[in-house]
Amino acid sequence: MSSDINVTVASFIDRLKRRQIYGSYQVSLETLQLLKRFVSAARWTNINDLISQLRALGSRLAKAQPTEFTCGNIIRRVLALIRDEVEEEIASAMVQNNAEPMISSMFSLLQKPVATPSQRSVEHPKADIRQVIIQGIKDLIDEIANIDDGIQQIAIDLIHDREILLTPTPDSKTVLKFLIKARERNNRDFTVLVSEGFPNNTHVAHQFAKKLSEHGIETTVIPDTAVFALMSRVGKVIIGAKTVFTNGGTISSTAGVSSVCECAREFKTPVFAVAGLYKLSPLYPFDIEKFVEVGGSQRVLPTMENDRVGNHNRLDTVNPIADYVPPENIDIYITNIGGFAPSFIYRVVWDNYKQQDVNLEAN
Amino acid sequence: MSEQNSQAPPSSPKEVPSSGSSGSSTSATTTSSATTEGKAPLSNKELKELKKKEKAAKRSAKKEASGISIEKQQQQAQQKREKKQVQRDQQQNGGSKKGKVAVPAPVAKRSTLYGHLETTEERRASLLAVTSAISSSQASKITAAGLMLPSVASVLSGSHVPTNSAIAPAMSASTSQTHGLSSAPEPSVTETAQLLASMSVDDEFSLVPGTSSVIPQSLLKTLSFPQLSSSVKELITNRDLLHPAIAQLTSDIAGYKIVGSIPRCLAMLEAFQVAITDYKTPEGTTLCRNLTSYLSHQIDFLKKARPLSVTMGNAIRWLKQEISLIDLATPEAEAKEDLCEKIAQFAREKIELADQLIIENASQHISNGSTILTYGCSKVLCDFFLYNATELGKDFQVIVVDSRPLFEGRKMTDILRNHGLKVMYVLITSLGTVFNMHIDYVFLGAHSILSNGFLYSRVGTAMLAMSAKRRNIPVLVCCESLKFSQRVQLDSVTSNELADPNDLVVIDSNNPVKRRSNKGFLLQQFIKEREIEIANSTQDQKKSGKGPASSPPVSKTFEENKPILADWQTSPKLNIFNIMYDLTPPEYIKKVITEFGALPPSSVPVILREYKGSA
Repeated sequence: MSSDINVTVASFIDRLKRRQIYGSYQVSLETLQLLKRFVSAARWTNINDLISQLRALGSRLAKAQPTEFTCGNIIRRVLALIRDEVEEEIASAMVQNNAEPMISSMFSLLQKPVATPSQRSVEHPKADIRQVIIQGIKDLIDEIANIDDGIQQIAIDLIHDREILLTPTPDSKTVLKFLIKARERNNRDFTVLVSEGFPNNTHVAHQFAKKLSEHGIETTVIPDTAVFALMSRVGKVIIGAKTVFTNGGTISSTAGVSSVCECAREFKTPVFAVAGLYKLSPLYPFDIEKFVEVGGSQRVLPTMENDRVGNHNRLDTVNPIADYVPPENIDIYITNIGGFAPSFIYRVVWDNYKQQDVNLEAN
Repeated sequence: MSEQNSQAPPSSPKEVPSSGSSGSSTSATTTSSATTEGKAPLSNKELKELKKKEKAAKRSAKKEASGISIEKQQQQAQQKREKKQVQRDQQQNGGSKKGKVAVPAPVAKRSTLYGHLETTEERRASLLAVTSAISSSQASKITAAGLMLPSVASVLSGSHVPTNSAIAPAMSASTSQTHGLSSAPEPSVTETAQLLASMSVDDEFSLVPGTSSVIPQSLLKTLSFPQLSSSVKELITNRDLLHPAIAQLTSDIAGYKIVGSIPRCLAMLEAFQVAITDYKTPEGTTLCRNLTSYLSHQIDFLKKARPLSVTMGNAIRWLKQEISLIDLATPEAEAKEDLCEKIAQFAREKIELADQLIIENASQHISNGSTILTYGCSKVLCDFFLYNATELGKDFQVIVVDSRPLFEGRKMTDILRNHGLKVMYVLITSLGTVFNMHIDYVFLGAHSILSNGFLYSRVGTAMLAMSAKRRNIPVLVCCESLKFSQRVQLDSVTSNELADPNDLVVIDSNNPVKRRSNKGFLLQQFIKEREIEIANSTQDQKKSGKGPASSPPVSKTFEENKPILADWQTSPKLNIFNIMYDLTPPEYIKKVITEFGALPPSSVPVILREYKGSA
């Protein structure tokens, strides 16, 4: 492999580590660009060779930023794409042998495999498969770039006129675009409550509120504490998901979202999460603490008076940056391919990923 | 004169033609001008000039005819009930424009969610009005007095009507509005205005040149609410009665220097002791009759800082009863001493001893190695943790949950940490993470417990209690019976205290007390107005074409450091919601620990009933 691509990968990893690329949208697009270059530069003798190279890349990226799941998601999707291609190839190659195709779902266990008549030539030339993969990556880029449109179409039907909405995730671009679209294109009149997400996201929240109000949406900034007091007035809670796990739980990029969703559950207020398909992760959140990123304490406790006096008693603090919302506190997921109940997410996940790619490190 | 007079109480739009096109444009722009004042319709300079003159005429006419026009107006109001809306609009326009000499007055925003609650601005405006009135009469220079009259000065410089009448017309503009709204006797408000005006003129110190018009503006806003204006007026007329100890306490409470219902109550009782000691019964009345009303005046003033806490209300009720029970025969000195003694005893019994009992009762829940979660800063809980750590020598960890904007938890953290306790300090957004730890109990303080069992406490408590309940962690509330209230409430928003929304604008981790300490509200307001004034004058100069082109860029750094929501008041769609308390439903609370023992929240009305006599 050329050193050129190695440099690109290394710089990408560094930027991930330094959080110069952040936000799942940005990360996913950059990862796809990187993959495009990686695939076009990669040399392989066997298609399995390419797959293992990609897996190695995926685990390197995952190590660089363990809580940025989108990198892994994207690589797994590309892997699934390649595997599909290979599968198809094998199927067409072994059409006479009547071989068992890979089992991808329970349905095919009962089914007699239907031999597809081979239309193409048996052997794919290497350049051809490279072309196919790169085309697939380009399609993915298109899909991600146009994700908001798909979500908006579905989500708009979920809110009514003069409704009061609450959003605890002001950093979600999808939520912002959706609300503005709903106001401008569909001319819905509604009120949005924005919780501040102190200490990590308050700036973003204020900007978010300002933007909404500039677009003619009645906006109210509320401190995180007032959520319970106002929940009885709220019609729906909209959250932006950062990662959606197989169990239907989600990691959001603002702390405090889980409490908000709990409140909503308590008041029977519907919660809907908006997420692009690329945010679905085939991982399962067995250990939540491993997935919730923790930030520095300087925002929680800038300086205490006593530090100057010389009080050396230990003071602990914790500043989680993200938050895990369990599936039971979310009513529905709106993705660009449709709305799903949290309990159905696993099925959507396995439509897009392959089982053998869940763990990128294992051989 | 007659023509002016017919226009002065702006009534029907028919009357306008003779007074020129400007009049009609005024009425046309009324509705929009409230929001986009001074932009599109007023851009024409000639029109402005015309209007200015017209207004001046109006004012003088009103001033002169204020005696007569009242009846006239009343008649008209009766005749033209259906046209009140128009009138009000017009007058509002007149009033707000007057205020806009220096500053585009913030849009009167009333949220559909919480529009019924009294905003801090309203409260503070009346407090300001009163304090300035008081301080100006005492000729104390710098504070509000300096900022009070200056309004006159600035109006003067703005080529308007002579000094004395500058405030009065502004007032009367809004006065007639009040009159239109309600049947409240008009003269009273005019009186208020004149009172203020005369006072400010008396005061020689107030002639600081070029200062702003803080008071009239905030007053204008306030006076549009009839009840408020009357209460302000009452306070001003009774200003001589105000005891300095109470004034001091009021400013401390308003500035959040004293927070928490128990500290506030204690401070109030102390102030009352001072006030009672200094009290002298006037001739012709008796102590037990007059002292109550004297204290009522103090309380009215105290209310302007923040609404009275339930503890304060209960203590006042008790005190008034005690006063009424004083024998008429007792000599004054003895009666006063007696009362002070009783107040001290009340504080000891109801708060100190009650706290001790609560602490003893609650101590059974803490054992070695346990982890306790608490929220904010409650005095009794603070003492409780200290007692368990130092006296009983238990080894346990306290997790203090805190929230913006008051950051009361820091105080608690500091105190506990200084005594060597293991403390963990987290913000309320990290509840999800915190509850993943092993927590044995959640201890909560209270502002009050309502008689339907709801806990009324610092905003955020409810969320904490709910999260704990869902995880089957027992939630215990430590609360003196003094905090029990007869009131019932179902919803946090229906009755609450609105805090200053501007506290949420600045994003940092300092609490507002610290932030305010270096630049006070008045000063900020003054600076703001001054800047706008300068900007306006430079603009005018530029327009006229002869002014110097090099106007220094208005403090760039200030602009950059400006918080994102700094101008939320001028953007019509943006609101900030900052309440002080919320309601925790009784089902989240395992038990309430009081000095009468531990009981479920449903027993609160029982305690209220059974122990009412002894209270």
